[in-house]
This record gives sequence, C-alpha cells and structure tokens, in this order.
Amino acid sequence: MLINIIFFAKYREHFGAPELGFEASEAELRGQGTLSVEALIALLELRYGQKVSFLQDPKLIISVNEVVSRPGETLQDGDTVAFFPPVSGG
Amino acid sequence: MTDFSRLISITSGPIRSDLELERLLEGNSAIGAVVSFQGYVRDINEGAAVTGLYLEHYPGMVEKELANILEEAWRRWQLEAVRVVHRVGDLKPSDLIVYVAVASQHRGDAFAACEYIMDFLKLRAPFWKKEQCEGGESRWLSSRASDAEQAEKWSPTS
Repeated sequence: MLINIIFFAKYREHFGAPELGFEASEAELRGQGTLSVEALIALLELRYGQKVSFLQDPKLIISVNEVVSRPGETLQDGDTVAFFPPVSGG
Repeated sequence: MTDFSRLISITSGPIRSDLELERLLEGNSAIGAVVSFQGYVRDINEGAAVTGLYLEHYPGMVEKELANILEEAWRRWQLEAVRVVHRVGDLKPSDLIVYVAVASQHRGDAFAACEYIMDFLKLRAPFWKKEQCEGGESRWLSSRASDAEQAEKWSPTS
C-alpha cells in the first residue's frame, strides 16, 4: 500500500523534505490489508525516529485527501496524508 | 448553486484591493453595502522588529476550506457577492496579506458575514506564517488562542 505523505511549515523543516512516498509492506499491514492513520504514524515513527518526533505534538493536525481526518480513519492505497501545525494565515 | 472556489484567489503577487472591489460590484445594482477586511504585515510582533514574512499554504486544501467557509456564510446571510484573496510567498511590512469583501443589500449581512469569514479563515485555512526578524532570526508563528475563541462565538448552525 502506497501512501503519499506531505509535511508543512515547521514540520517540513524538521523532517528535511516536503513529501514522501510511504510504502507499507504486507508484514507491516499484518495481513489485514488496511491501515489506520494511527498505525501509519506508528510505522513512520519506527522508520524515521527523531525525524518525525513532531508526530507526537499534541497540536498536530492531520488531513486525509485534503480533509481534516477523524480519529481511527482508515487509509486506502494512494491516499494523501498531510501533517501540519495549527494554521496561522490571514 | 454558486461555485465558491471561483470566488477565491491565492496569489504570490500583490493584491489590488481597488480592482477586487470593482469586480465585486460589477453588474450587480442590487448591492447596497460592501464590508471588506484587509490584513497587513506589521513591522513589529511580540516585541520583535519584523523585516519580512513568508507565507506557506497547502494548495488544494486551502481552496476547499475557504469554499466551505464561503458556502456556510452564503447559507447564513443574504449576500450578493463575496471575494477572498490571500497572498502567499515572501512579503514585506505593509504588504497586504488578505482581502475579504462581502456585498449585500443591507449592511448587517455584509458586516456579519465578513467577520465570520475572517474568523474561520484564521481557524481553518491551511496557511502558515514564518517571520523574519531583525538580525536574521526567523520563527514560525503559532495560532493564537484568541483566534479559536473568536470563532466560538458563532453557533454551529442557525
């Protein structure tokens, strides 16, 4: 399963790149074939460690396909998940 | 059904509020009131001298969020026309960051809708500001708690 990941603002700087194609293997999906947003975060933390420490930021906002995600939301192959801090436009 | 995304522009060039107002009024003589908000880059923030501002955004999601906000404003008030223009990229003090204009037949609708749109733009639209300060230091701005409080005064539906 391929998930497109985007980071914005201070998280983008912390990660060192604006985006990432994340391939979750069958083993990582544990044969279930589905991946929740929370499970994706756990996999990213396993693979990238300190580079993604902001995923524990209590203010972290997550969107799936440009819509703010719901807890427990399940991802589909090809989905785009963005991680960003609280917004500050206007 | 109005296509709300048509009423929104994200631009890396200067915003011409005079031209935006002309376009808003064009061909609609039912308009009796226009209320607009213009937000500028300040040269001082939290005690530090600001020399520049970088505005990052999430293309695609910004337009979706703003369209949702405009759709809700359109549903709540009797509006004739709406326009939202937001600058991105590198800005300098006194540059216009955002222009919101709302036209209605009577002033009450335009006043309320303009404030509503700004309150939710600040809360929901994925833009992020990074300030460059005197001496070369730069910092990402966090949202203010007062922004959330400001938006809470609008009941979920009416």
